[in-house]
Amino acid sequence: MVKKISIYILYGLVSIFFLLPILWIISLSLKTTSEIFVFPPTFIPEEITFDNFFYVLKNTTMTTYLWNSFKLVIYTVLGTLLVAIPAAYSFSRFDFKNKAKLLFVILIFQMISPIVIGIPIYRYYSNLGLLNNYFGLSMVYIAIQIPFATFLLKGGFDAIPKELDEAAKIDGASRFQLLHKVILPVALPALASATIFISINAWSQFLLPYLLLDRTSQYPVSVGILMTQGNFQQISTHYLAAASIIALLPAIVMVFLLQKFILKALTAGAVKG
Amino acid sequence: MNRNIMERWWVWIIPLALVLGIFFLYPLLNVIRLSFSNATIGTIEDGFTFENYIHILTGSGFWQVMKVTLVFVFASVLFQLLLGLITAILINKDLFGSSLVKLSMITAWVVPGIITGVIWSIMYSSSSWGILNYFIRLLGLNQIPFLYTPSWALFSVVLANVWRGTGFSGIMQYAALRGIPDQLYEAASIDGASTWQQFWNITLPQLKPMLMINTILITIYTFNTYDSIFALTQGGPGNSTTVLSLGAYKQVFRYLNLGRGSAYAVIMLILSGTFTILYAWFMGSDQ
Repeated sequence: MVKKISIYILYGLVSIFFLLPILWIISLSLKTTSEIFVFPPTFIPEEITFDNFFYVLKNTTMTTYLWNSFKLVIYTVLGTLLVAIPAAYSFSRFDFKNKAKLLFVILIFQMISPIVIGIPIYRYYSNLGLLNNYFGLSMVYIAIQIPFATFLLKGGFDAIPKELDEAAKIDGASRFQLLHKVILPVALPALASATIFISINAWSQFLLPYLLLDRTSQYPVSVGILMTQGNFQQISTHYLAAASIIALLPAIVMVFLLQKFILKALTAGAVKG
Repeated sequence: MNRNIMERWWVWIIPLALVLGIFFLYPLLNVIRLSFSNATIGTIEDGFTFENYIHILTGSGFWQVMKVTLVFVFASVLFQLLLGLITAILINKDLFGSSLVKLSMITAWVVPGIITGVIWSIMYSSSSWGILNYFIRLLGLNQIPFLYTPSWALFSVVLANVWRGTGFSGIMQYAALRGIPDQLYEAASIDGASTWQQFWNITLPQLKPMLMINTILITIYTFNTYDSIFALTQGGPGNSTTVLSLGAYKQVFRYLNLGRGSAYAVIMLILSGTFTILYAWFMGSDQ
């Protein structure tokens, strides 16, 4: 019994460690301007207000940033899947020499920081006139996401029995039909995991858009919030808090809805190798 | 004919090869070439020189950055592993509430790096909204200038990074814990082994492969971290929180020295390459 209680206490402590920063920002975002300055600070606002959110949505370009992030996520998810699905299919269903080695070489890219490729890309994008261009930016996002997506999807495809393919092949299905009609419908969980991962990563990207875009109207949320932080300065932490919550919301909603998938994808990714 | 060609494995990999080749491999080779040049942002032609490396390796700035990187990576990895292990063992007890812990871990993990920085800069503030300093004052201690002295700033960026990264580490280790067969523990209890003995003789050895993989993965991720630091301190005060990636960024975009920044990037590449080879080696010996 004592043991159980101490575990519960530890559960509480761990959850507080992870949640306190977010809960505190939520609390700040719901406070009035005067309550922000009250010391000692109140944990639950005495007067809950949503004005900060309205202010941020109305008076800053936050909605534009959100929309831009949303667009970039969509482009990245679609582009990455388009490239990674056939590659994962090849790795899963064909036998060829050095397959494991080639897959590993692709995975190596995953380990490289975007800053490394960001530097030369900035240079030739500025020569090619591809700065401030979503196509150019999305292609780099896609390139960064492909290795892990391929790896994740291959794992998902491997789990589908080959007998399914064989049966369809006897019926005269082409390779393309096999992938499209047999494998993809069954691989939905893997596709969902890949989509979640790509989306979370694309939503978080900061350095690349920061380097490759310089128009406020094009910034995604990650860059936009940094500008917001600069603009608001010290006196308006409640606005900054509200802006942070708005920027976080899509990721958090995703976690709550898709917790099971995320857990599975996280563990499947690393355990299998 | 059309069908024949689809029977070849490499046809399916062409799109991947093209995208990775143009947008990843080519820039990679380019950065290596640039690191041997005197290019600045704006110049077109560049010569061949070792000057960047000589300058970097003989100057003190770089070694300061290396030291910061080392402390940042080592401390982050150590605490992410330890805290991750503790939380993994806790949620593996699977009592009521363990799913809340899991949820809170993943939530912290999906917070974008930049927003992690913004959130923690509010937490660290010495104004009324700086909740950490409020707690510290409750304990009767003096306020801590979290972001304003070199050593506290380094501590602060590590803490924010540990907060964000521990969820990943914990979930990984939780998965590995679940994979340990119950029979091992049952047999040990019959033999009269204490909980502590079970931990040392069963849990840790069984967890070892995952701990190794986890260590290397976290090291690589931490090594590549810059956004939370960027939002918290911009690498300052001074250069006290400038890690390698931020150092590369500053060389190129603040001092406009493309060659020197590229040399920083190549050094990063060599270091993360080393970790990756270690990773491959462990994965290989694991199978």
